[in-house]
Amino acid sequence: MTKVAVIELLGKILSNIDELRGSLDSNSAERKALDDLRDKISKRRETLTIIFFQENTSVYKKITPEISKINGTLQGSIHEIEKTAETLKTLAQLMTAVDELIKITAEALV
Amino acid sequence: MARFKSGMLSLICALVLVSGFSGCASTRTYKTSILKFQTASAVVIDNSRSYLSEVNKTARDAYIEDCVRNRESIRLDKLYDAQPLSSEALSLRLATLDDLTRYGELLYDLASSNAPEEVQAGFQELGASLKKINDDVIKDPGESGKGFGQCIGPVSEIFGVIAKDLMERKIQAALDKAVEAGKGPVLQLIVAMRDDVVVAYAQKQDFYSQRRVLLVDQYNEALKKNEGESVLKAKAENLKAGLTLYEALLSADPREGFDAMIRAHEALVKYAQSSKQPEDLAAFAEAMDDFVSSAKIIAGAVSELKKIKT
Repeated sequence: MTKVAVIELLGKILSNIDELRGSLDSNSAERKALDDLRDKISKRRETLTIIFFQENTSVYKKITPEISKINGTLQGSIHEIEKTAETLKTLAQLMTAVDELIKITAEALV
Repeated sequence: MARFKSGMLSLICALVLVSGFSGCASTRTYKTSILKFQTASAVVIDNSRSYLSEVNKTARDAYIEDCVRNRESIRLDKLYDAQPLSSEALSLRLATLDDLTRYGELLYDLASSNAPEEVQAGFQELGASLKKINDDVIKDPGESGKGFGQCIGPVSEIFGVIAKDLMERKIQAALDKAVEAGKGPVLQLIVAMRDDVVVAYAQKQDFYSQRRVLLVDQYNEALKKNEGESVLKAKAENLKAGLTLYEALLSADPREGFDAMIRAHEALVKYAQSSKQPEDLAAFAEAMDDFVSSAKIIAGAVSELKKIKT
């Protein structure tokens, strides 16, 4: 998966999150947790857009399928309000994977 | 905005004209196909130009809406920090799009030209322009310019090879060489521009996706505050407009245009390398028709999007 494909995938996830956020009471705890995660994922995506990536490293090739796999899990819950707790857990895993992607890039730049 | 609309209208008219152009000779089919490549490329590039031009505005608007939502003060330094492209980086990308347009125009000029010297001068100017872009990237690449700069370098060096054939008026040979010499570099350049534009589009899509939630919240808050019917209606209208705009934006994904352009460019290269049998020409003409069809859809979607915004 290329860097641009990761950015596009995160965009689709952010759109899914928005649809869920817009279906919840804006003062509910779940909505606030989703708002928070959305902001964080969006900021990380912005970071990804400005970093130059070496897409052929083994670590990069290991993490990007992981992001794709997490998205597969996410699609099983994000369209259903009753599964919001599950969605929040999966989004936290997504954040960790994206953080890892940014970290290996930052290390490679040093 | 009026200039953009008029430009889009011209491009749509040109697409209709070239798609209806019919000829009996293979030369005419070939020239028409090259014209289709040039015109459809211009549509894709024009669409891209609008996304790139607005990328900083989208980022600024997103920062301001974030501040409003979180009830935070707005600071100009942070606002400008939020912009992903410096004015130099933006100019460089727009100049590259201009050069991609020029490449298509020169191929058509070459296919139909009675004045090869002028076309040769055009290719030399294009080479010089791409070299300048390359030099600018080397001078100050910035983080986001690194991948971009790797693609521009080779493109600037490809056009010298066609000069001799042009001087001898071997137009088909010169055209084949121009296409073949540029097959890798031009493809890389299209891919690099596609990636940049796709990222700009993703940012814009994200902004309007988030806005949907903001508009839903505004309606629901008005409802909770027991606002009158006129206020609720106004909020509902805002929401409807926001949702329509978001849907229109989804239909105007620039990736599809660039992918169609890549397929068309591959067909162009394949034809240049072929023995020019009638079936080669038929396959080439078919590929250009497909590209024109994609470009028409894009032009229509972008036109709809612009109508909604105004």
